[in-house]
Amino acid sequence: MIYTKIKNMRSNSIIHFLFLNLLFMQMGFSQNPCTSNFQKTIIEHATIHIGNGELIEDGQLYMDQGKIIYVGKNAGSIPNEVIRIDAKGAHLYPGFIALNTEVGLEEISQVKATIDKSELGSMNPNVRSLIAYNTDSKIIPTLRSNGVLYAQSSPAGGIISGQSSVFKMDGWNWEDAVVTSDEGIWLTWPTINNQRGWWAEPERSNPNDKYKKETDAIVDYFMQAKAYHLGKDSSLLLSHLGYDAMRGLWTENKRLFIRVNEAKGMIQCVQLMESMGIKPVLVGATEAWKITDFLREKKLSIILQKTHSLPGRTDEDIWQPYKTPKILQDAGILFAISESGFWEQRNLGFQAGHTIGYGLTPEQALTSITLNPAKILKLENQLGSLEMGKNASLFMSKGDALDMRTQHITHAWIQGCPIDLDDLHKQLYKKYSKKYGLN
Amino acid sequence: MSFFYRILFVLLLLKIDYSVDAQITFPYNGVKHPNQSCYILINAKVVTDPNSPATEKEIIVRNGKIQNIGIGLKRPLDAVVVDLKGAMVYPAFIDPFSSYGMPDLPERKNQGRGQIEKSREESYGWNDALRTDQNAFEIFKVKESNGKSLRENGFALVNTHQPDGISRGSSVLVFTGNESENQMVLRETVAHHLSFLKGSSTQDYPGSLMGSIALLRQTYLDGNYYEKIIRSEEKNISLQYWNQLQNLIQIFSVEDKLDIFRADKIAKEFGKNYLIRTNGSEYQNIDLLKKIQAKLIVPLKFPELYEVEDPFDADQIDLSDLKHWEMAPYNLKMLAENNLMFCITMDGLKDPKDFLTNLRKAINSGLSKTKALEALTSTPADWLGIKNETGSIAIGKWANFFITNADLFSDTSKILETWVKGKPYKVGGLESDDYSGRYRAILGNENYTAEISKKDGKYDLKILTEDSIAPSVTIRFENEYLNGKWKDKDQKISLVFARKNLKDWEGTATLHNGNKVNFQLSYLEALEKKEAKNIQKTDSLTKDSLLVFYPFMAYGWTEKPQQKSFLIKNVTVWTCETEGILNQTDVLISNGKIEKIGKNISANSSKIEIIDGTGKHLTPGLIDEHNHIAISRGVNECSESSTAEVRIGDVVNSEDINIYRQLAGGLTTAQLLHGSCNPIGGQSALIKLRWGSSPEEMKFEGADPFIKFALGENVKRSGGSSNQRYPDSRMGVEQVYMDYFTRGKQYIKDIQTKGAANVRRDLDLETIAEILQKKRFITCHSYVQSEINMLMKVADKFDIKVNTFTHILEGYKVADKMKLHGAGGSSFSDWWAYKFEVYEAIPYNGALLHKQGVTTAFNSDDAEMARRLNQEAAKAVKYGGVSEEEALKFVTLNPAKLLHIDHRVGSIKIKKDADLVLWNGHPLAVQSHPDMTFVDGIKYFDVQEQSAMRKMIDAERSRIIQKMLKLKESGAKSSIFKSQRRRLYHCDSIEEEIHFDENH
Repeated sequence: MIYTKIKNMRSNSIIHFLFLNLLFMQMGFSQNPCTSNFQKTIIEHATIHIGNGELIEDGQLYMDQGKIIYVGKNAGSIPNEVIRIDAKGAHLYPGFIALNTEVGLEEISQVKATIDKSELGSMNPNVRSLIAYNTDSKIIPTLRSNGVLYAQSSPAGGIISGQSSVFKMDGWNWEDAVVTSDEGIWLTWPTINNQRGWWAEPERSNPNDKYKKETDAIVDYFMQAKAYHLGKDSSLLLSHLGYDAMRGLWTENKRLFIRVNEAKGMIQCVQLMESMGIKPVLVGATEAWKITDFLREKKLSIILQKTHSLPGRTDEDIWQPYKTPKILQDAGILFAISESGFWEQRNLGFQAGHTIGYGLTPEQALTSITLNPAKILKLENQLGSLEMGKNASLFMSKGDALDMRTQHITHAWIQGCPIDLDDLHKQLYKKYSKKYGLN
Repeated sequence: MSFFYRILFVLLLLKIDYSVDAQITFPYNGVKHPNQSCYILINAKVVTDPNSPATEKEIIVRNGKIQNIGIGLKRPLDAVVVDLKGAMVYPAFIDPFSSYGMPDLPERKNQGRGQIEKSREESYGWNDALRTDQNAFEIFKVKESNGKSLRENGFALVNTHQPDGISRGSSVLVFTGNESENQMVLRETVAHHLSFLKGSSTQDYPGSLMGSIALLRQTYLDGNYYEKIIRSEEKNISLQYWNQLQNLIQIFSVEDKLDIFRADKIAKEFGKNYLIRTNGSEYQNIDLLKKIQAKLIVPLKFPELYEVEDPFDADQIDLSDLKHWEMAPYNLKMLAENNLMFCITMDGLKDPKDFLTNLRKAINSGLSKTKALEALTSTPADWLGIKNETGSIAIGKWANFFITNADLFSDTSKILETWVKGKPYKVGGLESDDYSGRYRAILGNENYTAEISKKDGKYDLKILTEDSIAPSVTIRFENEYLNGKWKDKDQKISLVFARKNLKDWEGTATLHNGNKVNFQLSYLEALEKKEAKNIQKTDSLTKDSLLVFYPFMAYGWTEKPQQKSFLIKNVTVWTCETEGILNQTDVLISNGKIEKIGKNISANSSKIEIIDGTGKHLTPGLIDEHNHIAISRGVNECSESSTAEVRIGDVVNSEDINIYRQLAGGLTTAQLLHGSCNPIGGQSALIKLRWGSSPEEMKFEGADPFIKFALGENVKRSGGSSNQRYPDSRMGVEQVYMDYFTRGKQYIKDIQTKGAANVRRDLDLETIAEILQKKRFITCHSYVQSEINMLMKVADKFDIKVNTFTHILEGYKVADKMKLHGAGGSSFSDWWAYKFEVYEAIPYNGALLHKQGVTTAFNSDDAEMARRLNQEAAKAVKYGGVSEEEALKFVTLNPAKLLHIDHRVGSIKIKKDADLVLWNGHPLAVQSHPDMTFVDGIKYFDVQEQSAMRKMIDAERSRIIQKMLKLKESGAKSSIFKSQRRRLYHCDSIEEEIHFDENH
């Protein structure tokens, strides 16, 4: 693959290589955000994974002004002032979209000072990840190095944790990086059965005696919030920040994300929310495979827990979490695959890739971390696939990007801007390679 | 208070009973009558001992003992005659494991960690869980409410102890009667009771099962050294008592079936014989129990029926629980059939009323009556050393027996009286004549037919008439006398009474107007016998459903897979040797070893199973240097800065489903490590994933022993809010090592100069000494370069090597030093940012270490990751460009080298163990998975068989759930499934965890 500017023509390739290396190293230590200096770019001879299930071999992708202008076999006449990239043997993918993540809110798990993902109290719909999101997190460059170009940064903890926003993995500050702000409210559904123990010593679950009480409290809060919403013109009503935040749930501009894993819990929370006029997105949904009929009937969308999970119970299929995506796919349910945590998001591609061995096609696996998340976020008009008119947020990998063995990302663009793929890890790698005389 | 009441009060206080008085040393307030009693029981059917049939006999009881037994005995003139009218007499039961009459346990203060020292100030030993001074004789009190329920179940003697602590002190053998303590004690000290539970002790140590085991072992040793070595330096009440307790019978109470073997191992090491109080699931491990010739004290605890109507609730119940519900009543039968020795205890039953019901259930499930009686009479008498005094009905023995209306094991049988030490205690009460029958009822000149029937011991009289309205009668019977109300058609009430005269009743009725008339019931005929009620019997299980799985859970084997010869044809072989990757090659395995590798190997025997490997890849079985699955009750013993004495090998749990799941991911060998919460953790265990085998069988035979060390944030306890345990900084961590290695050196020197017999054997220092003598090797949890460097320098000072740094995420910064020292590294592929000390952890670590010549492995430290270590290896290709061949070695040959087992496993080489994985595709590709996994040439995982297993699991689940639903329909009570938690504490209300997640 050769990176060439048409104007310079194909000059001495060695000199060119050095120049590029220098360029990257210069960029490397700062990771400056892209400054909307869009360049017309055409990528040629690529295997293009559209993200909607389609695949174009030896295709062309042309982008300008941050948008995809053309994708297909033949872009026709391309202006001269264009960066031309020969992607022979390489793959193009839409940027991965990480859902339900603490990216930007957590830097070092055991250092409290670096964590801004949860607030005191149990009902916090008014708190917003938006303003805590740290664009300078050392984590972020390591994610986009592995193809994650968007993230839904979501609060955690309590019962109603707060509001999430969607960010592009590039920006000077949160205002700059945000794609959609305060788009979701996050609710953790009580467990019917409490799981105790830990992975080295799993214990069997026991019924949660407080389940009814806990769900009643949630229903009550939602009913109050809805009454507040309906009575907004009442002069008697005093401002309530919490209920104000909830309003969007009934005005269609906010979605409710419910963290729930048990089948019965999923059925119950969906029913209860339906009675309040809300259709939630189910997150985690470990046992979704048990209730596909219900999920399809209610046209629910699912953010599935990470593939690399243990089965919920001893008796279950040992590969149940690996197989669940295929079951949902066959049932016609809209689902996204997610990864847990923040730094872990760099493995998002592999969470999807792993399901290929258990029934999904490679393109379906890709869709589960690109177009499907975009649909769940209602951003499918801008993101999630390499289709004309959408944002030019994509990356190029030498090999299959869903496989850790072959993923090798050489270029990435967010909204048409080429982004710096250096990160702390590469820097330390270079530093110590040098120490040992390895380069 | 009047004088009379004062006396009564005093009498009550002293519990003086006029009928018996054997308290010879006691002064007496009142007239002292002699203590004597004599009874003769006649018309009895007596079962004198478990092996004798019931025969008609008379029994003479004098002063608490059986004076004579036989037919046509001469009645002593002073004997009270008890006419049993055909009732049956059985020798009373003996419970070898009870806590009857013990004071309530002190409430365990809900303390977290932090009590490092003992709580008692006197000259007791160092650990509060060793309650060797606890003497049940001294604290036993007659507690009538519990004594009564023991007698109601036929028990006249129990061996009782305070169930608190790891050593629980001595037990006392007591009668269950309601007399003074001085009289109810038969033997003051009977048995030394032990357990793995620390009970009410709030001391940190032990904080794990392996800690309990280590404490027991050390205490046995200290007991032996006490007189010879320790006593001159240190007086120790606990050890003095401990030594006395050694002369008694030893009873060990365990929590689960694997514990039996853990206790047995300790018994063998120290030449003890334990009677083991089990939990009722022994049928799951019969063969192993036979091997150790265990003597068991078994509870009659059967799981209740579970609620399974809601399929999602039913999902909460594991197959193992469903099966156990079905099979628990068969436990004793299976033990008996296999000639295992056992007693039965009532201990552990939630409701004592279940005892006889469950005993009958066990009989209905195939336990012979003789065996059942033996387990409740002669065997406990024998084991407790009192068979000359009790355990059967024989001349000279204690008059301990109970009387039943029918064969004890029949459904209609009831205990009427239990005799304890020659004294009768009513249970149901002896039956008088049965009044049931049809009578002519005459009231004045009215005349009816009446029926007296008996239900639950109560009589009912009904008037039979063709009129639509009959007189309604309520009559009470007592002592051959009856009285009651007779309400006639006009609702007028007459009061009647009558006395029994032969079969009739004669008396008077007072009419509503005060007139008196004759009242009479004259016997006509007996009632037709109704069919005995259909009592819910345990269905007899067919052979199929009595199948035991190994292990006893989903994915357990009904038949363990066998070693066979396999020829894998046309496969891509990743040898992990200089031969590299061989295409289209055949591999022959037999006798558990790799026999041949080459092209066109032909199967020269029909016994060789041929496997088509076309399009597939064969690799060595994967090896995980750092794993924590398959460990029972505590991965960490956090309580001290060195716990080198604890051993994961003591607590391997062969019944962890993750063993099977990891096999299905190609893992064949795993090092089970102690956690990382102290600088010197416990000894590790190396296992092969031989699913279905016992813990001992899983261990990698002949492997070098290792120990876990740990550095940094976990051992400083940075995660928690406070720390009281040394060390609190990396500076202190170094000093822990300096201290222990210095003392370890001294320990070796002491043994060399004084001789081993003259040095107190210290399990902690002994382990340190093994490290110094290069007999045991270090795997050290480590993150930042400073500490890594430090430990190597400490090791240099003591002329040893750090064998492996595990995690070693900043190893890349000191790879050159590691290479020089000779340490290997076993790392996470790409973890970071989960705490401060991993903020400069990079995924290129593996590649950098490898390129510097450090033996590099990737490990899991995670139950999920360990089932896809191949993917972790692939990350070494991505990050740092390690070749695929070398990357695979990160999870095969390299960990084998780190564990010193590369002569056996880790590569595909002739004569090496046939631990192999057949992958359905490229072994490092994200979508590949094992089709087959072999350990020692045994196919433990087969993707095809796995789906058959799944079907079997579903079928078994459905079968048992169906059965539960039917039972529930027929009216049986059910409850929501709740799992039993196994803890080191006795108190269930405490939500304290036995584990700490100090791990990564």
